[in-house]
Amino acid sequence: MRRAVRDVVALVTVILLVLTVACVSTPKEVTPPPTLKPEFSLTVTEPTDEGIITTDKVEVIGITTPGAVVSVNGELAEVDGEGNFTMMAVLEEGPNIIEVIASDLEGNQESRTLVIVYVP
Amino acid sequence: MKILRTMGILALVAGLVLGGAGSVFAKGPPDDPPGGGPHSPKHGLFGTVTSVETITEDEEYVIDLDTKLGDVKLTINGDANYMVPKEEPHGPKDLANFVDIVDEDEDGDLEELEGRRLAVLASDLVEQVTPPPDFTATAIRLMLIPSVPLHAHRVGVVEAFTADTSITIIDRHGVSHSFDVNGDTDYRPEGTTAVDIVVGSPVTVVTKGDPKLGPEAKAIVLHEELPDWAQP
Repeated sequence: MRRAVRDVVALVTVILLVLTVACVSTPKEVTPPPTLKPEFSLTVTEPTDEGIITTDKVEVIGITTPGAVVSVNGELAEVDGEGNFTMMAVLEEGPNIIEVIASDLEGNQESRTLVIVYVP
Repeated sequence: MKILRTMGILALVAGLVLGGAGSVFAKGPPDDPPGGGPHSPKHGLFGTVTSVETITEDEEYVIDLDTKLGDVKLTINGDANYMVPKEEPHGPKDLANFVDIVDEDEDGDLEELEGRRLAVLASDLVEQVTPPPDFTATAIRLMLIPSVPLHAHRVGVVEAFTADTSITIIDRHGVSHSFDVNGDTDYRPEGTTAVDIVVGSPVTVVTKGDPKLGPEAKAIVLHEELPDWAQP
């Protein structure tokens, strides 16, 4: 009887030892969660292409990938942490071009060319 | 009494004839003009050129424009300004300049405009009773809408830089690009000056996209980190 108990204890000890060794010797592989790089984008919400404007200024509003450099007709626009930008463009009477370009360090670049007519 | 009645009838007939003469061919301005308000004599138009008729070479042409309003016969002449972005000289041009630029085969007509898109500030927009065309109008300012961007961003690492003179950057493909730098060049982020731009700096150069317009650096944005492709 005593011998049987001793055998069981020994068996349990061996199993515990094996499990401990197994856990220590095979480090858990940590797979990082997949980080999907957001696709580079540029959306200009205002003004609308081929629109008629009756004031001599127009607010250019849009959103791009955070961290992008944005220019409106060659002038740099401030981009906030979420990628929003706003810039005032002064218009001449008649047809005007509003050209918005966004780019990042990796060489991604998007542009939108809008044509509007300022009718005083 | 008879004389008075006759004069009255004559006056009535004359009034009817004179009042109706102007409306035989035209209905007048559209009820809802495309821009400028109901009382504005100026209107904004966008359309694609379907044909061009030469009235007098180098003096007057009539362009058929396919617009949202319908067919518009647009008269262009020496009174209007013409804008052709990306073409020298910069700024509004006169009809002679415009014809020189557009008339590539130099045959005096402007058939090269067919298929091109125009933006126009027009006057005398009149709806026609018996279309086509649906409207007639006269151009005040006309722009040939460009098909390619006018500006570009160039991203790279500074290879050479001389303040107020030039900057050369090397892009991710190993190609060098040089741009003129002058007192008007804008440096960013705020507080950046020419002193901060050194060989090896990662930058974005905002430039005019067409070499015809000159390789001018309108702005230089200095980045804090090297792009992945430039990492050692």
